[in-house]
Amino acid sequence: MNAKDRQFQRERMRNLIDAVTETLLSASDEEVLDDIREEGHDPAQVAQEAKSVYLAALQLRNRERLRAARQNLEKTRGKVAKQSSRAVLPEDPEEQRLLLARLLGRPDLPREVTMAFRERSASLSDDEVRSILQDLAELGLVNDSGHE
Amino acid sequence: MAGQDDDYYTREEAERQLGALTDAQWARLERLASWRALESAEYSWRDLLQDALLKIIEGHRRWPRKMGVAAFISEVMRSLVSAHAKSTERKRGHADVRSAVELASPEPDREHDVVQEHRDDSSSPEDIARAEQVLGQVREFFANDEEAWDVLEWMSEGFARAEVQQEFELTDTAYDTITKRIRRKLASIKSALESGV
Repeated sequence: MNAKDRQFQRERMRNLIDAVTETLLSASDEEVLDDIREEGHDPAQVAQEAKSVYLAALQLRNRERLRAARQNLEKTRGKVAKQSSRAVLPEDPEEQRLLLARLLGRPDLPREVTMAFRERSASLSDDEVRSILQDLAELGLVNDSGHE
Repeated sequence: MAGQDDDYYTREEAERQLGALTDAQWARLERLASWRALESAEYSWRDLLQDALLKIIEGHRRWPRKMGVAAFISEVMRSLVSAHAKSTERKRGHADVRSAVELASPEPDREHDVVQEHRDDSSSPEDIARAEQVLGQVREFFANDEEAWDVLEWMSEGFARAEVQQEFELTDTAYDTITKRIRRKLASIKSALESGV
């Protein structure tokens, strides 16, 4: 089989998959679920697997956003005078979370920073909350007595 | 060519749409991904679907409002497999100049607001081997089902549903019955391939 024949095979393969895809797109939900059962799989589990792929994609995207936001903070940190040594953060983790929530509502914070942290705020550990507050303190967003 | 911004979902809208999909829609996407992944010896359905979803939620692929979710994601996956084949080919040093130029563009996805056709000629030896294997099995499977084979041949040539129906004088119901038969026969080939048989 020469290169042209091989390429022809490949093209036919693609057309074949296009054709199957076409029938899948026009099939009813019930037909698709029947296909899955015919193959010996559980439709609910298949759906769950696909959904978990989406959740993984969201995690990847959020992690990337967070990384970019942190980089942004690092850059800004270099430009602003360090004030963290004077700011005293609350000791209580709950108070720290409340302070962070108030800070994220400030209109002078870059939107990408507030969005990235807000989306993850519920899942942040106490250490992460403290670390973010320290970052914000270095930017001068937390005053000497640990308030916004 | 890029259309008006209003013609596309915003990134946030696209994410909301994806977050509201039903189980049946997710199951259909899994089917579409697993079929499309057959085209590539290196892409798993999970990686393919994840890459497509990432492109969408990161805003690298704009979703035309007139396009349904399954059709849109299916097209994104199709072009990803094509791009992957091109990339593989390029790494092997066999890409032609045109492909190389296309791949070198900084934001190739943004260049093509509506998902673009990628009927390129680049394929890795693994992909070719995969195609030969599948097509060989398809021929065997349909040896005793001439009607389905004829329809499949026409579909594989790229003829539209209406043309196939006209050629073989098939009613809508008859066409649906045959294509369902085709899909299920092909599914057994796919299962065998996925399990490495």
